[in-house]
Amino acid sequence: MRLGEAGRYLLLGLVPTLTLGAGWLLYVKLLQGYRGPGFRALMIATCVSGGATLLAIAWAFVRRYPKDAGALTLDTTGHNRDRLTSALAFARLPDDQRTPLMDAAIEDALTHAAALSPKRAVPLSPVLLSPDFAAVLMLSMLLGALSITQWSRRTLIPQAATIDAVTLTADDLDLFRDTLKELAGKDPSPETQAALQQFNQLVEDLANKRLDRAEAFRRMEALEKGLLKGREADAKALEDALKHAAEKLKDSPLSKPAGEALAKKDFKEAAKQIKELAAKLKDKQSKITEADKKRLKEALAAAAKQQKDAISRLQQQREQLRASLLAREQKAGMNDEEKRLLQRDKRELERLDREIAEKEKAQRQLDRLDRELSQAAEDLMKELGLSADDLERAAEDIDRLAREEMSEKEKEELRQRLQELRELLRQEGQGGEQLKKRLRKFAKKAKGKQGDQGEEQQKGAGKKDKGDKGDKGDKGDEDGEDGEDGDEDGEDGEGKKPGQKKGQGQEGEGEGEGQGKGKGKGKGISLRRSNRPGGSGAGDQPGQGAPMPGGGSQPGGQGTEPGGKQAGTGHDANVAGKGTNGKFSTQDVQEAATDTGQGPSVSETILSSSEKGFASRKYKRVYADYKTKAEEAMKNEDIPPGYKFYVQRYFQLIRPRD
Amino acid sequence: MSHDEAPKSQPATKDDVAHFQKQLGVLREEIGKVIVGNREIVDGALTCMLVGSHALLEGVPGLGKTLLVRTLAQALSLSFSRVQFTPDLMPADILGTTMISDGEDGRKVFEFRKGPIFANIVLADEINRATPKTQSALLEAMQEHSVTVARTTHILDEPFLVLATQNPLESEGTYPLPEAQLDRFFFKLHVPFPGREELHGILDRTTGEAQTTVKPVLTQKEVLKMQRLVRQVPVARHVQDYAVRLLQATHPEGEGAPGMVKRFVRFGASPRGAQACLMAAKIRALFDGRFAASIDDVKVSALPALRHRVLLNFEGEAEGIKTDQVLNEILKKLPEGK
Repeated sequence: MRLGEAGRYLLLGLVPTLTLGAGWLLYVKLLQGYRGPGFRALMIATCVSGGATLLAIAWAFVRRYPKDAGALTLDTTGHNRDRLTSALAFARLPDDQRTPLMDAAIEDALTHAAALSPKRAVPLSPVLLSPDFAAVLMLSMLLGALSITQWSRRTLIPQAATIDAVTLTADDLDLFRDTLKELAGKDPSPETQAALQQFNQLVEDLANKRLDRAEAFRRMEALEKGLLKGREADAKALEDALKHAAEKLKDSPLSKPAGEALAKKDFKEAAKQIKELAAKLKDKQSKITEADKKRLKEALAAAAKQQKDAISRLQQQREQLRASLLAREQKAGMNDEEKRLLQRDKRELERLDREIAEKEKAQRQLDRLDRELSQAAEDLMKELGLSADDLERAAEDIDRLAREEMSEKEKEELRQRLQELRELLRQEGQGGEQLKKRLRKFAKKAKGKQGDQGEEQQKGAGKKDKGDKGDKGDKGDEDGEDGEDGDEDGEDGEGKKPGQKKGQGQEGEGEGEGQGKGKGKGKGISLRRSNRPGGSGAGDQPGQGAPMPGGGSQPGGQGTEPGGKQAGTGHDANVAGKGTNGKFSTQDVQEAATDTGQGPSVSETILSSSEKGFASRKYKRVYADYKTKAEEAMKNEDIPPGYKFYVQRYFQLIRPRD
Repeated sequence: MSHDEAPKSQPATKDDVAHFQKQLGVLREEIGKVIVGNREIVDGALTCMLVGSHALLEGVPGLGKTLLVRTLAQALSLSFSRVQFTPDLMPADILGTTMISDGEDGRKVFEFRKGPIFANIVLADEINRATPKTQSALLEAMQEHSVTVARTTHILDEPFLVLATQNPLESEGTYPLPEAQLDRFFFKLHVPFPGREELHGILDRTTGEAQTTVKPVLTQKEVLKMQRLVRQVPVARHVQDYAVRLLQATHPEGEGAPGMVKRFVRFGASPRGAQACLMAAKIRALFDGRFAASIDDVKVSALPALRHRVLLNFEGEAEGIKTDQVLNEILKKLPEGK
C-alpha cells in the first residue's frame, strides 16, 4: 500500500519537476552564460517541485494508516462485504462480549479469506506500468541525454541600444532649412549666428534620424533658453523708455527729427539725425540761437534723465506702499475688507517691483545713451564742439541699439520657428499613430489632394485611374515620366511614359489634359502652371477637364497609357501650347478656367502652386498676405492653441517653394 | 401482544440467521405471487416491518402501492386497516373515540371505540391530503406505538407498521408532511414505474381468469422473533463510523460535507437517519445470509433512509436539485476508511 501510494506521489510530482527541469536545462544549455530573470525562478521552481515530491514519497512511507486499512482494502477489492474487517474488529473484543453471531462472522470471514488477493488489493502495476509512468520515464531519459549533451556556446553579442528616432518629412525639413538660410543671409549678430548654427545642427540631426524625442526636445529647450537669455531688458520697457526719450527730444526744433525717428523706432534714421545735429553744432557757420541751444539742452537733459526719474518715482511709490503695508500688517484685528485691501496692495507692491526691475534693465541698456545725451546737454552751453562729440557718441549708441534690435528680431523669428518645430513634433508624438495619420491626411488635403476620398470617388469608374502624371510630358527630349502617383489612398494611377519625346525645348505650357478613352467618369483636371509641358496621358475613362490656355512652347506629349483621374475629355483649344520661348524664360499663367463644379477645387490650384520651383510671384504675394492676416488673427483673437497649430501647419504646407 | 409480553431475547445463532433467510424467502415468494417486480420496494417494506418502523411510499397512482401493503398484511397474517386520508378526516377518525354505552349494571359508561390505527399494518393512503392536525395524530402512534385518548394510553399491538403513500404529482389541496412527521418514517421509498417486462407480468396476472390468492406464511410471533434477531446482528466499529460520518456529511457545516451539501442543503439528517442506516444495514446483511453489517449495506440503505431527512435550501429547490443527487455525491466523496 505504501509503495503504491509512494508511486502515485512520484508520478504526480515527477511530471512538474521534470518539466521545470527540462526548461531549466534548456536555459542552461542554450543560453550559456546568460542569467536572465527567468533563470533563477526556474531553478527555484524545479528544486521546490522536486523537494515536494520527495517529501510526499517520504510521507507515504512514514504516515500512519487507519486501523484495519489493509483489511478494508482487501475487503473492498475482493467484494467481501467487510467480512475480514468486521471479523478483525470482533476478534479484538473480549470473549465475554462476543456474541455467537460475531463468532459466526469471524468464521465466515475465515471461509471467505482464501478468495482475497493482496496483489489485487494493492497492485503496483497501475502506477509503475501505466502509460503515464512510461511517459515520465521517457522524459527523464530525455533530460538525462540533454544534460550530457554539449551544446555550442552561444555568445551574446552586446547590441547598442537603438533609438526611436523622430522623423520629419523632407518637406518640413526643407521648411526649416529655408528659414535658416534666410536668417543667415541677414548678417546676424555673432550670438544669433551661434543660435542659427545650433538650430541647423538640430535640423540636420533630425534629418539624419539621430535624435529621439527626448533628446530632440532637450536640444530645443536648451536652444530656446539661449535665445531668451540674451534679452537684457523687456522689449516693452525698452520701447517705452525710448518713446519717452523721443518725446523729450521732440521738444527742441533741433532734435525734433531725431526724436521723431526714434519715436518710430527707426534707429538708423535717429542715429543719422543725431549725427547731422552734431555736425550742425560743429559747424561754426551754422546759426544756432541761444534760445535754440537752451531748448536743445533742456530737451537732451530731459531725455537723458526721464528714465531715471521714472524709476525714482516708481521707487518712491513703492516705498510708500511698503511702509503702509508694514503698518497695516502690524495692526491687529483686521476685518475681511481690510484684509482684502491689504492683499490687493501686496499685489500692487509686487507689480511695482516687477516694473522697477524691468525699467532698470532697460535703463542699463540705455545707460550709455543717457550719459552721452546728458554730457552733450552739459557741454552744449560750454563748447559746441564738445557737445557735438557727445552727440556723435550718442548716435553710435543708437546704432548699437539698432543692431541689437535687428538681432532680437532674428532671434524672435528663430524662436518662433523653434516653437513651430516643437509643436509639430509634439502634435505628432502625443496622439500616437492615429494622430500621425490624421496629420498626414491633413497635409495631403492642405495640398489639394483628396486623401481617402479619391478611392471612393473612383468606384464605379471601373478600373483605377491611371496615369495621373501622364501630363508630365516633361522637357524636350526626355521621356515622359512614369505615372508614379499610385501610392496610398488610391488616388493616382500609373500611366506609363506619356508624352514620349514629343515636346521640344523646355518648359512648354500646355494645359490641355489627357483624353479619356474609357468608360468611367473622371475628375476634372488639375491646373498646371506654366513652365511645364503639357503631356497628355490618355485615360481609360473620360474626364471633364476644364480647358486651359496652352501657353507653352511645345506640344504636349501624347500619352500611350491611360490617364489619371484628373484627366478629362475636355482640352484646351490650343493643345499644343505656344511656341517654344527661345530665351527659355518663364511665364506666369492666369487661371482662366471657370468653376463648373466638376473641376478641381482651389486647393488643387494651391497644390500646383506650392510645389517646389513653381511658386509664382503672385502666389507668393497672396500667400504672404493671407499668412499675415492669419497670424494677426491668431495673435489678437482668442483661438484655441490646437487650432493655431493647424493654421500654422496649413501655411507651412502651402508655402511657396522656391 | 403487548410489549410486556415480548419474549426475552436469546443470543441468536447461525441457525437463526439461516432460519431467517428461509422465512424471508418464503415471504418474498408469497408476495411475489401478487407483486410483480419492485424488489427494492418489497425489501424496503419488509425492512421497515422487521425494524418495527414505518415507510412512506411515494409514487404516482396505479403503481401498486396499496396492493403491496395489503399483500404484505395478508402474507403475514397480521391485522390490516386502511385509512384513506382526506382533508376532512379528523384525528378521532384514526385514533378512535370515547362513546357512551350501557354498562353491565345498566349504567351509562364511557367506552373507547378503537380507530383504524389499532392494527398491525396500517395503510395511510394519500397521507398528505389530511390536515396537519390529523397527520399529527399519527405522531405518537408511530413513535411510541401507543395512543392516548382522554388521558388513557392505549398500547398498540406489535408489530405495528404504518405504510403511508403519497402522490408526488398533485400538490393542490395537499398538506406536505412536516419534518417531524417525515423523520418518523424509517424509509421513504420511491415506487418506480414498472419496466416492459414487469408490465407484461402485471397484465398477465391481472387480466387473466386465474385469481391469485395470498396465504399467510408468517405468524405474528415469527415476525417478532425476526425483529429481535435483527437487533442482534453485530456491527463493526468501522461500519458504524461510516454511518456516523455519512450522517455528518449531510450537514452543511459537518465534517466531510462536500461542496454540493454546503451549497444546497439547509439541514442535514437527524440521528434517526444514522439509526435507520445502521438498522437497514443489519437487515440487508441478514437478507444476504451474512452475520455482520458492512459499509456496502450502509451505502445501499442510505438513499431510502436519508432522502426524506435532508432538507434542501432555497437555492437547491430553485436549481431543481434532488436529495438523492446530494446523497449520491456524499457517497461518492466519503472515504470508507478513516
